[in-house]
Amino acid sequence: MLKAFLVARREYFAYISAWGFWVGLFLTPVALILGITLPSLIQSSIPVRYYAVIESGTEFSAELDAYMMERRDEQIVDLIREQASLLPQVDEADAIAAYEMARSAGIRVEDAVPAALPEAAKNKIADDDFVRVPSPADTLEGLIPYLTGQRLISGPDGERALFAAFIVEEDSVAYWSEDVVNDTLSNRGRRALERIARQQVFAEAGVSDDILDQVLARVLPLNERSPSAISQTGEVSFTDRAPYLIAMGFSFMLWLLIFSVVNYLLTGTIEERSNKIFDALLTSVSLPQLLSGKLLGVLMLSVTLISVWSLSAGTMALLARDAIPGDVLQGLKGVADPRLLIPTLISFVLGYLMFGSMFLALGSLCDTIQEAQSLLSPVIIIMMVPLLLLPVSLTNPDSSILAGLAWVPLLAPFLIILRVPNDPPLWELLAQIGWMAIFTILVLWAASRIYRAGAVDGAGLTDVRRWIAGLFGRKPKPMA
Amino acid sequence: MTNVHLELNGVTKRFGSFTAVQDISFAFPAGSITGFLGPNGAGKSTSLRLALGIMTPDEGKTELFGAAPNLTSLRRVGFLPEERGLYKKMSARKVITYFGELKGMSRRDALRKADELLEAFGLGAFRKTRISRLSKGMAQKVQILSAFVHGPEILILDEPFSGLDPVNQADLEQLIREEHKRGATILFSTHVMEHAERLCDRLILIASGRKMFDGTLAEAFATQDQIVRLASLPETDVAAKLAETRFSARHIPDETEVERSWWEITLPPGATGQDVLKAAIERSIPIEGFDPGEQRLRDVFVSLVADAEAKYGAARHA
Repeated sequence: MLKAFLVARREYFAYISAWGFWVGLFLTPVALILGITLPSLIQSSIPVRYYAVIESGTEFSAELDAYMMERRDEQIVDLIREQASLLPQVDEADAIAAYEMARSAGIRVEDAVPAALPEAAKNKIADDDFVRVPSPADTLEGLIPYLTGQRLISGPDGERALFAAFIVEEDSVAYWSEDVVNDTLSNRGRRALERIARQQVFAEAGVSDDILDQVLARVLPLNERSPSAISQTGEVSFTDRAPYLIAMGFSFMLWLLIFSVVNYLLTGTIEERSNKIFDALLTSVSLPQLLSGKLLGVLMLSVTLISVWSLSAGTMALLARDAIPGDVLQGLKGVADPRLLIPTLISFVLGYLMFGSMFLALGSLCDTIQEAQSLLSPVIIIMMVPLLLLPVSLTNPDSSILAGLAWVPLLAPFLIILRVPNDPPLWELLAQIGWMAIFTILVLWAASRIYRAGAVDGAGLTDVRRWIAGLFGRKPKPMA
Repeated sequence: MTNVHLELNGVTKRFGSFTAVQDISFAFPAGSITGFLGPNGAGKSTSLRLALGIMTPDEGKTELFGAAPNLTSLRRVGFLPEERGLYKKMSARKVITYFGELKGMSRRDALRKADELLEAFGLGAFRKTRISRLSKGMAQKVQILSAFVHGPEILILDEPFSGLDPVNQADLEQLIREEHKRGATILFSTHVMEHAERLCDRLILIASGRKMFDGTLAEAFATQDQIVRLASLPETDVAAKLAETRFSARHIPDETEVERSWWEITLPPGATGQDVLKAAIERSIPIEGFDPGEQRLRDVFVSLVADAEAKYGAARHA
């Protein structure tokens, strides 16, 4: 055991002193944070784009302006609701009423935002992403130089190219833009046209055009409730959804962790094989000691990763606790729920041993990483399956396919965790964990035999007969 | 046999249809320096790996300190494999310490011993240098020191001199002598016969997977006929004049020699060059030159390997 520890210690310090480890340690949370925040950052960094409308009257442009303004007001009201859930000093009803009153008095959006909202929240209010400017020409021919950027047009944000133009004709509206991918503005134009059509049809039928608002006002509220909801009224909140999200997070982190570290086992073993270290090692340690030492060393590495990542996440959560809504905070406490934590820990250990020993065996057969890559492809495809199942598990946690795939040992470490919040029968959970444990033992046994064939007998990746012989051949006498 | 530290008995190892070693038996008495000779692919490294229990034989058995090799007995062994390899990102000091610890030394003792050895072998200034930044010769020295660090009773060195320059080879020879003086039993394989001649009190030669010789240097020379060369006048028939003696002579044609002719005389076991000269004088053979024909281990090696190839070479790939 002491020798296995010596091997583990060497492995641990070898990896931890590598530059790449520290890059991975710090870059992974940065990449995750970027992945979460980047879409909204991109959204907020989009420059204001100018558009123009050519029409004989003002019907279309007025309706489009009104629609744009309503959308913006809805965004502000959503923001007020969000802040009211976080800050006791913000009264949701009062703040919304004050905002609506200011807006109906013709006050600009930025000035109508209630003063009670903190500055940080006010900064979230994005500028208008599309601004209508007076059309610089009356015909399409005249607009083309502006649309192609040959000529610039003045607006509230300075001079820039015209992003798009609506040309209203008698029986259709043409939307012109160099950007053929972004359909946001054209969809808003379509929505404005629908509103105009609705008003015209209602007028022709002698119906007031606010009839639809009256209909919507009469719709009864649909409250989502669940018998297993934490709230006494059965109202479903984030706290109830949290276990599913946490399970998904755990499963993803497990995936990330396992495949961040098993790669070290592969490259480390290839290094030992190509550097011909095995013979010197095997007169000092037994093969099981060497294998277990290597697995232990990299496990210690992954514990370091978990600790640093968890500490960072915990610190960030602590620092941002005031900005986290109450039900979210309550839900996040579910991270420490033993019903989820224990299967996660078991899945992590078994999943790590299973994939780790497979990568060790693979490394022992290869002289170069390029050689290993030919066998890595099928393993990577298997590795990707749990990732593809993550969104499915959230919408259909009781899917029979998910339940069936949880019996596939290579997927079990990730899928068992996903199923836990759905309260599967205990016997099923235990049986799946038991089967995963048996399979892990089998993989460890096979990996140690193949490892011997590769490390001791020098079998290569293409010497299939030799490593299969190593797998099923006569067991060597054990070294005490 | 308490004075035998390592013994192979009827050991055979096959890889598929290829027989790497066939029915090999030998024993290493305590305190000996044994040279393990053989051409490339003879089965030397396989024999050493079998002896250390890294591989298990298909037939026969190996004994280390009177029992099958195990990690306890292997603690008393230092091994330098043929294929050199170290952790390239570790420093020289850490590598030696690591192997010392794996052999059961405390970290403190291993560090102290590593520093001592590195200093003694001119690597003191490089103790914190990564292996990847050392020259090939220096890295090889570090690996040799890793095998020596725990003061083993048996040192098994597979081709220890290969890759070393003459100065480092001389240093290593000196180190082997010192370890022997300390009481270590030493076995090393080599292609360079001069090292074996200078260091070994015993030789084992294997070829084509078979043991071809096991004995002292003198016994190795005795396996071959010794030949001397004698020059006489061109008209003298040395073969005829020695016909009634125990020596047989064969003329060596040489067109560059006009005033004398050379004859090759094979010595029977126990005879010396002096005996040839005495017999020539007694038979009035005019002696114009004499070459005592110093025997070299290389000749013995070449001859035994050729025999083995002829006898067993084909059968090895059955």
